[in-house]
Amino acid sequence: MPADDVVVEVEGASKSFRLPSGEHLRLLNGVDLTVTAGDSVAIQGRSGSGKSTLLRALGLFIPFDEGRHHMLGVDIRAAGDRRCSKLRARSIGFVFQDFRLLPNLTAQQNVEYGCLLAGLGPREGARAAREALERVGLTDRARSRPAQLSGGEQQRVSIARALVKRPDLVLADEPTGSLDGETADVVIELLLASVADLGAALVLVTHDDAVAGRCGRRVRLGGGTLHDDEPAAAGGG
Amino acid sequence: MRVVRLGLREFRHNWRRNSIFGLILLLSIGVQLFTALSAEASKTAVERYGAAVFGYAETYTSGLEEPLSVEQLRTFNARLDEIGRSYPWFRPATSVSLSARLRTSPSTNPADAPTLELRAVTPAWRLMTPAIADDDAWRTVMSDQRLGPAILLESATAERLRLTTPAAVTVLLAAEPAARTDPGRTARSAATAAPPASRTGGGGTGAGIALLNVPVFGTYSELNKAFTTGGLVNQNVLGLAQATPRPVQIAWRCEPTRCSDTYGLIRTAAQVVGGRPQDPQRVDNVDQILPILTAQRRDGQRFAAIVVLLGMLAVAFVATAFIEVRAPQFATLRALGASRSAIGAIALLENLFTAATVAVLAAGLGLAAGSLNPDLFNQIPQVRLDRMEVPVALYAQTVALTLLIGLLTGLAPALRAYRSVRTT
Ligand SMILES: Nc1ncnc2c1ncn2[C@@H]1O[C@H](COP(=O)(O)OP(=O)(O)OP(=O)(O)O)[C@@H](O)[C@H]1O
Ligand SMILES: [Mg+2]
Repeated sequence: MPADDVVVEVEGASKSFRLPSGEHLRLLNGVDLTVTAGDSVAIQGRSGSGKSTLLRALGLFIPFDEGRHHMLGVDIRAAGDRRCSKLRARSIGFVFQDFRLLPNLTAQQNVEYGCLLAGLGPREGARAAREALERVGLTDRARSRPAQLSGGEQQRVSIARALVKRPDLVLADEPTGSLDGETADVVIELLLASVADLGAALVLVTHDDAVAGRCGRRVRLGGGTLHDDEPAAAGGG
Repeated sequence: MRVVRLGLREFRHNWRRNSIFGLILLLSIGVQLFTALSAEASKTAVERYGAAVFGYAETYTSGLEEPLSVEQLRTFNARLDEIGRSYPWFRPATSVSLSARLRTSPSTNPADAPTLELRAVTPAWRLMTPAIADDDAWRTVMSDQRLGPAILLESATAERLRLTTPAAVTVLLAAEPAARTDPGRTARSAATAAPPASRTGGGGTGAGIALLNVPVFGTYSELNKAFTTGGLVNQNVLGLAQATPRPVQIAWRCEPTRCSDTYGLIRTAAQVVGGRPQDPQRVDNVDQILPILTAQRRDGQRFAAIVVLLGMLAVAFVATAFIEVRAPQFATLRALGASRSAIGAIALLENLFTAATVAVLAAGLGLAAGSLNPDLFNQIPQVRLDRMEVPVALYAQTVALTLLIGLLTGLAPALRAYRSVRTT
């Protein structure tokens, strides 16, 4: 039995892709990962090692081929699209490298959209969105559209959108990848603080050692499996 | 419920794009609505005011006791030639000359059918008014025994039929429009030429398919139209129009006092060719004209259906293309927790909402146009409608059709959205 505060539990998970040539590319091969509430895990690894693929599987967009995958007590490999979508709507917040804000909506509406799918009523959602924007310091840009915001501001809106529904798990794929160093610092600070405030778990993919260093745990994806990044510091598995 | 709200949101936020295919839909549904409203208004015009305007109150039908044989038509043809030879001045005076092609084979295969040219038809008609009754030329023609029966009107009858000189009773015998057809010219010259003095006007005017045409009121009604005042002859009159001579149906409308006169005209017209008409049968007042309107309506609907179908295809393509453009946005929605089916439903609903807007818009435009000009949709030029009519059933039908189109054309983009969702 997993402990009560286990958010994600992955054991011996693998994922292959069939390449156009007909070959099978076994990208993930025996991935073990347990994330509990309050954890922050940084995943690093070479380009093409499968970090994004792992994050997509954790985000329930694609299923693992083999292994165990549980989230909040739900057996993901046995759950259907509706069940997964519901988990995604209520319990997972995403932050993408390219922000992925809906271009024709204002910042406020973008954040509200997150609430809407999480099952909040329109009025509740509007209030929650206002509060979330306030937390990321963008109250005065609530009516701006994404194109009218800087990259850092857009990422802050996207963080507000990911966190407004109070998720249990936040997944961030290179959240600072398209931001300059100073802005990246502000954004990562904000992300870590917000997730910590919520008591949620964070799994973050990054190429930036400084960013990884601020996370509670660092792992490296290579050869299809996850290794602890600092073997010397590793207490045990 | 949540999906409906989301669909509505997408619809609102993508209104620029949706308005493009909304416009296509509006255009094609507009054609449909206009066609239907026109047919309806024309029907109303005929039902309500037809009797008053066209000067009839009763409708009769009759036919020939036996279909004309090819032999009879040949004889008729020969007789016309004879007239032409004997009285060369006569032809231009009447200015009615038609050619017809007649197929003599009963086979339905047109290739089997030998054709017979029926040409140079002319005027086996005479109009007797005090002015020309004394004319020597006329007297000669009328006393010529070779000519057989002809239409002959007493001046009193002509008066009652409002056929005042130089208006004419014209019997057009033809099937196929001659290449030189100019119905307008036929009309004018028939109405104005004072025989036999005026010998202008060519003999080469042709006419449409309608064969019996009795202009009344001194104005000429267009050939082959439903509203040939006085005499209404269906398209296959005298069987000339089709491959084989067929039973004839003649319908005419008249005011009660003039009905027997009109029948006299028709009987004479039939005899001119060599047929005998049946006794006239009274039919319901508008029954005869309405089938013609119905036929026109059917044609209109067929046209509208093609337009709507093309519109549907265009809408489906455009909507699907828009969905493809928005694939990244749908991926984002999926990241926010929308299931595949929700995304399909959102795309479908968006289409439906657009269609609903178009339906409201089309109905609104129709009603607005109708209230500004109640006569706008009426295609019967002789009648002016001045009271607005709202054919509720028709509007409801259009709205339902639009929604159905919205649903059908939404399926393709919905499926596309459902399938295309990919998230990285
Ligand atoms: N759906 C797919 N079908 C086939 N191959 C795929 C698919 N998704 C990913 N891959 C392949 O898997 C490999 C890993 O992709 P992934 O995006 O997970 O790498 P990554 O570690 O995130 O790299 P980067 O650091 O450059 O973002 C790539 O070679 C990619 O081409
Ligand atoms: Mg990646």
